[in-house]
Amino acid sequence: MSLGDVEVRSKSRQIFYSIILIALSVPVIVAFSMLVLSSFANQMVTNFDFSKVRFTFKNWQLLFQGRIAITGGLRENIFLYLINTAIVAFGVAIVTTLVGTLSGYAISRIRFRGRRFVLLMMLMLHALPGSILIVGVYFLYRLWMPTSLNALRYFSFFYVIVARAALEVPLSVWLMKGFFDLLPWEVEWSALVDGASRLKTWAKIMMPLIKPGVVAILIFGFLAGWQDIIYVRTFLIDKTLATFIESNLESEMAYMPLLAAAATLYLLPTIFFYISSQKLLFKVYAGGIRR
Amino acid sequence: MASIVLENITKKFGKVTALDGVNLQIDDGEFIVLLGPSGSGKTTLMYLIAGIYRPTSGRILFDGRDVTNLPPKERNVGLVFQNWALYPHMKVFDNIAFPLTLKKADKNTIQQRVHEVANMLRIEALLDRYPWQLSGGQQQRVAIARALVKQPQILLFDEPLSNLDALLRIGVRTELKRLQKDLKITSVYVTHDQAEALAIADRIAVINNGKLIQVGTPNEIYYNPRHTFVAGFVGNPPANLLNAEFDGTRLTIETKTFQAPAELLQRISGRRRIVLGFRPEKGSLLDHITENAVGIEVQVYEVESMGREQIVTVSIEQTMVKVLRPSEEKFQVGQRLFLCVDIKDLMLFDFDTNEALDVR
Ligand SMILES: Nc1ncnc2c1ncn2[C@@H]1O[C@H](COP(=O)(O)OP(=O)(O)OP(=O)(O)O)[C@@H](O)[C@H]1O
Ligand SMILES: [Mg+2]
Repeated sequence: MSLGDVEVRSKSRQIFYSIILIALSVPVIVAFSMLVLSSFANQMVTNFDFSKVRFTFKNWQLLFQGRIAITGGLRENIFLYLINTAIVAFGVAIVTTLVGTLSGYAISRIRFRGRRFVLLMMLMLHALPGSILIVGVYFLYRLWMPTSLNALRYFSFFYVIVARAALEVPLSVWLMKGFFDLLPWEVEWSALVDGASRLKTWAKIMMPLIKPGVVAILIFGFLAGWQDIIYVRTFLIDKTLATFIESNLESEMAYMPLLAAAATLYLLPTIFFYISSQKLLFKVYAGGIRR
Repeated sequence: MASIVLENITKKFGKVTALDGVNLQIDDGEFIVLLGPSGSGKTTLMYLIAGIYRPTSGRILFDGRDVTNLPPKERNVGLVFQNWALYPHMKVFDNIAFPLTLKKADKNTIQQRVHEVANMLRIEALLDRYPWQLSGGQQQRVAIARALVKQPQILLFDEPLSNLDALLRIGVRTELKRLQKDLKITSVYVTHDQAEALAIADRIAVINNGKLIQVGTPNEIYYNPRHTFVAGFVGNPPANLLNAEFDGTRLTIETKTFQAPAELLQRISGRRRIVLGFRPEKGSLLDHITENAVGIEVQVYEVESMGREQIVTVSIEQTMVKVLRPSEEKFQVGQRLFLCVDIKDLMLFDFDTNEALDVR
């Protein structure tokens, strides 16, 4: 190994790290591949013996037709579940981002009394898993829930979004606080002195600089909403993909390859966001300011 | 292009009083240097003029117009921040062009103006880089360029050259001064570098603890300080200040006593304690006391060579005094000599108020 600049990692070390990372991800990759393969097969792929496995689109076809139990004539509206899942996911993403960005700004910029306390409490909250809090959250739900069933359906969407977002808020506030901490007042002021309005300063200066953070918490929020099952099952009247898959797993007439298709569909956004946002997340600007 | 009047400006941050009753008039096209120690309120004063802070009390006038409550956007002020505050996500060109794009200037004008200032500040080769790809001194010049490019009516520089090497510093400083005179832009300039202050200022405002101590031309500030703070702050090394007791005829510094010159009696006017001051270059070290001078016996404590000159530190018992002498004179540590200062070069201050005792 030769000595290079401190910043430059040696080649052999890079290869070493890569091997470890690949080794660690093999089980995950294999499991996901089997799931995806199963969704295109006539039976579950559970080992590497492919002799009885036949390739088919049938599972996907049945899934989109909503014909879940292949023997019974049950039909379910998979598109509705997809939309429900998306509503919850986008809802959580938007609430998390709004609250995270605004509170992060306030906590970073304003030295108000109890600021440290708020920060510590939020860390505590983040340390508690959502399932522990659910009793209290359910209590509030019962307290506020409307009596008419129609109103309750809308309310349950609203409630599940806000409650689930609340779990994501601590982390996003911390993250955004970090971003604003990196941005001194002077940069904002500089734009104002240069002749920008408050709105322009926000759009042209602040936003580009905190974009990686905003994108990150948008995605975290979206995935949290998309993947959630506990809150959705407890509060939401309607079904989402998660509860749909779960209830079918338990049913007696479950046809596993079809559920594999549903699960694959369910996984798509996660994979999509993971790949598409990687570059953006690391595009953090710094410099130009003396500290 | 505008005169500035600060009327009784006070700025408080909670319990901290950053500025305390500041009154200052800056003429149209004048170049004022703010000189003061760290934490004295220089940056705060800049921010008040720029409109970033609102004064707790007092008024700010530009050309007689009250701008106290005007937002920065409407003040047409250029400000070079102490920490530069470049926009990290913009290339140097866009950083400099930002004020012009906000004014919706057309592309050609922007190109031309940006290249003009970049050229003057010798950063034309850097226009295509991001701020983090620049050295401290280069970033600083980008910040200056951004303030200059919009040709504001008032320019505020908060220690704009602190990161440049000595040579570049003098070069840029001369350019700045020339540009300022050409465009007649009223400028306020903060610096810690006294030589710089004395070299470029039309007038210097010395500030300490949020109070303006003295405002005057470099000559007045240097040779006629109105306050011990100014005498003890300006100059390199600054003026020597010695506590002296007066018994009606004789002055005593520690245990050393000498006859008070008749010329000073009227200025002392019977005070029991005063502060005597003199500039290091006005003291001479001899084996006798010269005519028209006061002399006191001292011992050489240390000699530091500075090339053409040397700083000789001498002790009067406990008190250390610094004297600037030509390198040709030779001194030995421990040597006993007379420190002589011409009477006309003596500065007198009141012991309690620290204010100068006369107008010379
Ligand atoms: N936002 C603020 N909140 C509280 N106190 C402040 C604030 N800004 C400045 N101060 C205080 O006001 C005083 C003046 O600060 P200022 O930044 O104007 O000093 P300065 O002369 O620019 O110092 P330096 O030469 O170190 O830049 C200091 O005591 C400082 O602690
Ligand atoms: Mg300052």
